[in-house]
Amino acid sequence: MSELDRWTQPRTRRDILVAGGKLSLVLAGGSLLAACQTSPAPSTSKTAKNTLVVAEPYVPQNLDREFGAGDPINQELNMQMVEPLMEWKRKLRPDGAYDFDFSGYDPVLAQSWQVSADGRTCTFTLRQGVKSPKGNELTAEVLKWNYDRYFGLKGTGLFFMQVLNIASPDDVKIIDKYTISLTSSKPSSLWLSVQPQHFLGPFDAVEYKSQATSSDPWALEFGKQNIVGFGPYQIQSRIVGQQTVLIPNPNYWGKKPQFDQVIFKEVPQDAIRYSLLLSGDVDMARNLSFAQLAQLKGQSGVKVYDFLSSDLTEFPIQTEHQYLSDKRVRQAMAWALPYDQIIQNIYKGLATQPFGPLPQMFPGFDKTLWPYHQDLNKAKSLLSDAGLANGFSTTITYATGIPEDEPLVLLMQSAFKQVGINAELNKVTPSALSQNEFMGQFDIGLKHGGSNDPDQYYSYFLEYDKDSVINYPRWKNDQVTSLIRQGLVSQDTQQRLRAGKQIQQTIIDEVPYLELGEAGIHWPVRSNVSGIFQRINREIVYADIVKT
Amino acid sequence: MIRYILGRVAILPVQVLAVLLFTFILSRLTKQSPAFYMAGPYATQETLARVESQLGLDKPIYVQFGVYVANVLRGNFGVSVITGRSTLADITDRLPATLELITISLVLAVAIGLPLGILTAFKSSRIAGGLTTAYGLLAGSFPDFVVGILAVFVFYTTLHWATAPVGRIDASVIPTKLTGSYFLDGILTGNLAAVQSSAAHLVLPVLTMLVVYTGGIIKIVRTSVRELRTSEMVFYAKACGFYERTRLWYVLRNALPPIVTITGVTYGVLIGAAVLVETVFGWGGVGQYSVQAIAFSDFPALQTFVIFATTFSLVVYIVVDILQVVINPRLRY
Repeated sequence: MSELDRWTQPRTRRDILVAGGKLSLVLAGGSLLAACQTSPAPSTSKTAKNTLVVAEPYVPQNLDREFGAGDPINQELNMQMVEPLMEWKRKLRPDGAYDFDFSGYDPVLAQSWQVSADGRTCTFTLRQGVKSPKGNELTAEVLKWNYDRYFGLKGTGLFFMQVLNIASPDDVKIIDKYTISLTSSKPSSLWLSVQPQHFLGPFDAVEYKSQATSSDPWALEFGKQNIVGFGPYQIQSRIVGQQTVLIPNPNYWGKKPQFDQVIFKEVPQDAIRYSLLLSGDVDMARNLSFAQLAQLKGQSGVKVYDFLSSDLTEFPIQTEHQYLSDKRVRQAMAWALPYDQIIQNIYKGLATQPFGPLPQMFPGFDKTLWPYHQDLNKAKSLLSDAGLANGFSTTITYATGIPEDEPLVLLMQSAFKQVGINAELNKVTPSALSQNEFMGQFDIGLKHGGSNDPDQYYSYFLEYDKDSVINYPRWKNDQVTSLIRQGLVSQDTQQRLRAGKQIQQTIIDEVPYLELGEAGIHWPVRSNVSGIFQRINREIVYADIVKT
Repeated sequence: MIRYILGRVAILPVQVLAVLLFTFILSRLTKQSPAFYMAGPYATQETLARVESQLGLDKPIYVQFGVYVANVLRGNFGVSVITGRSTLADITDRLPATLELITISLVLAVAIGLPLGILTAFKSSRIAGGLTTAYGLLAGSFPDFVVGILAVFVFYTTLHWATAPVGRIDASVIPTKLTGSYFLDGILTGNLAAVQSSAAHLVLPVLTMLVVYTGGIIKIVRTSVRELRTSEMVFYAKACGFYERTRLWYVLRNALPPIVTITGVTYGVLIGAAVLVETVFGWGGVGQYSVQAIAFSDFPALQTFVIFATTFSLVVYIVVDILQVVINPRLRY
């Protein structure tokens, strides 16, 4: 039978069934193949050498950092345009990335600095010839305007003024064109360690002042859509909801960055970010799940840079609530948790177990103070001592968004159940979680993040001072608060270390937070990308990066 | 007829207001406050109180609603918590992206669903019917975002057939903005690169929409045509000796009303369906905007999205009703 005859012959029911069966087999086989095997990743990136493409879960639309400081991607974008006065030293790793060296600082926009013997005054001498993309020079007057703006807007900048005990704009004085001094109402031990935070990097005051109006004297509206600083990049274009494109600052004082364009692509789904990286259409992908990171580790054409960071996964326990106010109950929870299982199963071995309120990378961290591991009998015994031998009910409130959180709370729920604690799960939006925690409307919450300053007293001040606004557990310990406040003004390094250990010991014993994971920072990139140095706020500056 | 149209248009604002009131109350019942996002992570109680006062959140809910409606009537839809811009500007910037996606999806869904529905209605085989039913069931049971991710996995990650599933156009292509639809603007301005790039980016999201939403159209067309084929009207026409072609015309003519209805309803549904499809493909339309608005308790953005989505659906339904009158002489108002 010729091919033509085959097509012109009338089809019988059997023919149709056979053809349908074949088609089904082909479709099913194709789908199965597609589902079971991923094509090997291309060995090279598809993007140009002078272009860096980064897949982000979203691209910030409000660029203001004064009130958007809680948004890490807002911080990340700001850091490409704004530089701080100084940075922590860095040390090169064998894989081409950098780690922190907390032994000292490298100058950036400041050439030198001096803290007075009484710890009340800090003087900065600025680098000369530093210009913004608009051609305006960084001077003491420009820096002074930035400090005035912190007080004027009463946003994140004001928080730092309070941390440093700078009472008013009058305490910021211009000495000469390139020298400025800051004076605090009491001695501070944080003068230098807060400076590497990009929050305090200056904007181009001349440009911002030109955009100010009588109703908006600090150009907040301009700042929502623009960032003009003295960093290596400037914004070239933005398409809302899709991408932001950066180009180099032509007047940049430092080494010219490799990339003529840095493109931030908004890719809301992590599965798509993963695919884009694997296919070489982007050079870096942010916020992949730990399961995806683990999968990438075995793929050719890509690599994952792992860093320790200050990022802790913590569950604040509301200490003002019934049952939970008893520290034996909180300790019982700490003894009930399967720490190893969490690290291996939830974080795929890529995170580390925390051993207290301080991240491991911070000076002053002491692993020996941590007693907890899973011991269900001890947990039951503590509950029994607290008069809760029959257990009790509570609620874990957590947010959507981070893929590991759901299995993590399920694992916690299961562990608690073994000692008689019936934990209900309450899943809310990220903003609802922040609000609930701020208002104290939770039993057990969930918090990701950490301190942006490796000085241990800064961390304690944020989370454990009895008056701190982000002391979510509302844990009030007068002795610890007193030690924290003394440490913030003390210039005696040894005394600060001793008291720091005492604070850690008390916090570990009192368990205001359940510490479950030190997630670290993991940057999945194409294999030709290197030079990453994550800054103290866990973000990176793309001018550091090299693409071969 | 004109009185009917005017009547429908006249009640449109009332319908939008009712939906808005419902959304307003629901969003406030969540007891979430956008002030927490706006004030930043280190805000004190005083700062929070100041931001809440600026947003009017310290007033009773009925006062808030009254102020909001008065502002909307003056064209002030509020400022987005996320973007810091007017929500009206945000929505109008992003609406063309969504309209491009859902309109092309609808046109193709009808272009595929109509002939397939008719074809399967005329095929008496069980296989055709079974396949149609199975497809209808599968399409209806798969969430669109799952189909989207599977499509990316198969056609982009595995087979390398599709372009990178992100955004609406390549970064290197700069389209001239006329309508806001890159594809259409590319055609209108003769920018071949824009047409090619935008078409390539449209393939997977449109395919996703087609897989999920063509099933309903096929099913309705098939059912309507089959019922009419075996109706007394067609038997009577046959008995009168009308040609088969004429009888077919009667069938299709009478099947039109439900087809127009399902097409209109699908168009109205697509603006909501686009929410998750846009999120999968980073489309940058109003759907993606609304998802972010929910996550950050951005009430002004959410409310403006609801106003636009509701108005869009209601206008589509009015057009459908008018078309029904035009194509069905038995309907008179």
